[in-house]
Amino acid sequence: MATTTPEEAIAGALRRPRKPLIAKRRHRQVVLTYLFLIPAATVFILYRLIPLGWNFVLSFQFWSPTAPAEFAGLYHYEEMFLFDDVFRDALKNTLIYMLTAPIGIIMALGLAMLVNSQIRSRGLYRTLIFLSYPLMTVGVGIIWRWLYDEKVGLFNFILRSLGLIDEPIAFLESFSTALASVMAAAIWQILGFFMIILLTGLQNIPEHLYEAASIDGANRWRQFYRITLPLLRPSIFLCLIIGIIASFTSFDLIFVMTNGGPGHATELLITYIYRSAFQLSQFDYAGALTVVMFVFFITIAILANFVAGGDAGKVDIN
Amino acid sequence: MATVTLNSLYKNYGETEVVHGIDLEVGHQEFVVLVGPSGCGKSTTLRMVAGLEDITRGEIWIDDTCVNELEPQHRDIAMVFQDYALYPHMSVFQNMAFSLQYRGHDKSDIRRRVLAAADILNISELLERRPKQLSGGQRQRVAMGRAIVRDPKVFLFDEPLSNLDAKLRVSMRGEIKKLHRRVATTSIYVTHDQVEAMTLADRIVIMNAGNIEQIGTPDEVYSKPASVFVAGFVGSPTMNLLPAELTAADDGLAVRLDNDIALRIPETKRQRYANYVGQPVVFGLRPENILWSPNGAAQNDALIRRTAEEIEPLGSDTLVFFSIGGREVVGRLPPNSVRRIGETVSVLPEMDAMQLFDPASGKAI
Repeated sequence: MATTTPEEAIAGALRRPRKPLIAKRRHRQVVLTYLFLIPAATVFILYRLIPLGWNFVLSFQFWSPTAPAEFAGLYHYEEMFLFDDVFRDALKNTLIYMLTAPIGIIMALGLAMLVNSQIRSRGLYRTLIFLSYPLMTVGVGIIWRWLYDEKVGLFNFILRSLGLIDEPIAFLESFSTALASVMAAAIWQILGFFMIILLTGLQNIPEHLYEAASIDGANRWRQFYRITLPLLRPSIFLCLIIGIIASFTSFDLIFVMTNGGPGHATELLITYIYRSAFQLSQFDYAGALTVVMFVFFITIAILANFVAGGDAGKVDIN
Repeated sequence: MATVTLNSLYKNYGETEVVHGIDLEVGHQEFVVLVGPSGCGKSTTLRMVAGLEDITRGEIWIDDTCVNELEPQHRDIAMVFQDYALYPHMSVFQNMAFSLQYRGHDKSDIRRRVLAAADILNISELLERRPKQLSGGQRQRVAMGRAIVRDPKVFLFDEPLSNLDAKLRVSMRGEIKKLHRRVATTSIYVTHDQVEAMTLADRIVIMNAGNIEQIGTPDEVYSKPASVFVAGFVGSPTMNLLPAELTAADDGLAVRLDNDIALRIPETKRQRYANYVGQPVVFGLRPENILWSPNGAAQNDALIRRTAEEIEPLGSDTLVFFSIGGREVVGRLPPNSVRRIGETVSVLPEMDAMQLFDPASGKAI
C-alpha cells in the first residue's frame, strides 16, 4: 500500500473541491439567480409596486393626512371623467405631447441615416447630436426658456433679424404656442438617444442586403421602405415605447418651462397629479388620477410592443 | 447571347491599387471561375462587374453595352452572395419575387416564375418559410432561386459555398453544375477553393495580387501551369517545386536536383529548354507523377531512393513525404506502398509530365 507524505496530504486536501452549501447544482443556480434579483426587486417593490398599490387603494377613499380614511367608491373617477375640465385638458395635452415620440423618431431616423453614411466627421456629429441626452432636464428647460424669451431669446432675435416678425413671439406665454414650444425642447433632448438606438439598428443591417436589393432593382427609396424600415422595426418600437414613457413622465421639463401654464395649456396628467397632491392636498384624487394614467400608459406600451411583434428592441438579423 | 468583357480593368482604394489592369472575355453561356488566395482581387473584380464597386479605370462590357456607368439594377445581372443576402423579414416566396416586382411583371407571371424556379431547385415546400427557418443548404438554394427567377443575362457567384460544411459543399457544387447545364446562363464564379474551381469551370482565371496569372481550362491550368504561383496553387497537394540546374548530359539535357540526382529531360522537351543550359531553374512535378518503383533497377539513373519522413494514408492512395536537396517532396503512391516512417521509398519521376520555371520571373519556360 502506498504511503502519503504530509506534503502530499496537504496538497491533496487543497485540491479537493470544497463541499458547496447547496448540494444540487440546479438549486445553486436558482438561489444565485434570486440573490442577484433581490436588490433590484427590493427597489422595484418599495418604490413602484407598493406606491402603486397604495394609490389604487387611495383612489377609492376620501383621504387626507389629517382625517381618517373613508370609503368613496367610484366618486373620484366620476368626478374625473364627468366634471373635471382640467383633467380633460391634461389628458388631451398628454396625448398631444406623446407626439414627441413619433416626431422625434422620424427626425432621429434621418439623423441616424446621415451619420451612418460615409460623410466626413460622422463621429463628431454623432457625439454632438447625442450631447443633448445626458443633460439634466432642468438644464434643458432653462436653456430653452432662454431661447424662447421675448426680450433676450435667440429665436426672437433671429426672427426679428431676418425681418420675419415685427413683434416678439411669446412662445411659452401664448396658449397657441406654449405646448408646441415645450414639445420642441423635449424632442431636442431625446433626439440623441433615439438616434443612438436607431443607429445601432441600422448598423446591424448587413450591407449585402442593400447590395442584393440594388441588384434586384430596388432604388434607394425602395431599399429604405422594403429593407431598412422593416428591419429597424424593433428599434423603432423600442424608441416609441421609451418616448411614450418619457412623455408621460415629463414632469420636470414642464415644471421648469411653464409650470403647466399659461392657464392649463401645458398641463399634462403628470403635472396635474402633482398639483392635485402637493399643491391642493387632494391625495385621494391624485391617487385616482395616477391609476388612470397607469392604465392608460400600460395599455399604450402593450399595444406598441404588440404592434412591434412582441420584440421591441430586439436585434436579430438572420 | 450574353458575353462579358473586361478591358484593362483597374481598381484603387485611395492610393492603393488592388486590381492592376486585367483583361478577360467571358463567352456566351460560359462558366468562368475566378480563383485565387484571399486579397487577390477576385471578389473586387466580380463586384465591379456587378456595379457594387466603382471602376477606377478600364471598361466592362456586357454584350455590346459598356456598363461602367450603369447602376447594378440596370445591368441585367443576378448575384449569389457568400452570406446568401436573403431578406430576413420576407418569406422565401417574397425573397424570390422581390426582383420581379420592380421589373414590371404582373402577379400571375411572378407566381409562375417563382414556382418554376422553386421546382428546379427543389424548394417548393419551403416557399412560406422565413430564411431563419432554413438550413444553410436551403438558404443557398433560395439565393440561387432568387437569381434564376429573373432569367438575367449574367449570373455572378461570390464564394456562394464557403459557409457550408464540406459535405454540403460537394453536393451544392453538383447542384450548381446541373443548374448551369439547365439554364445555360453566362456565369462568373468567385472562389478561393481550387477544387471548386476545377470541378465547376469551363475556364479558370487564376488571380494573384490583382493580376491574372493564367486563364485556361481546368486541364490546362493543372497540367500546364503558366507560373510557379499557379503550380503551387492548383492541385492538392500542390505541385512539387524544387530549385534545380539545367545541365547538358551525354546525349541531351538533364535537370540536376541534388548532388546525386540528375534527371534526363525527355527528347520532346529538349528543344524548348535548350537555351537554359547552365542556368538555375525551378523543377515542378505533380505528386501523382512520382511513381512507386519498389523493384526499380538500381542502375536506372532516374530512380530516387529516399527515407519516408511522413505518411498520410488517404485510403485510395498514400501521400509519402521525403526530401530532395533539403526540400520537401510529396508523392502520391499506392496504398500501403510505404507503411512506416523511416522506410526507404524508391520512386521514379514521370519526366514527360515535368515543368520548368524561370526562377526570376516565376513564369513557365
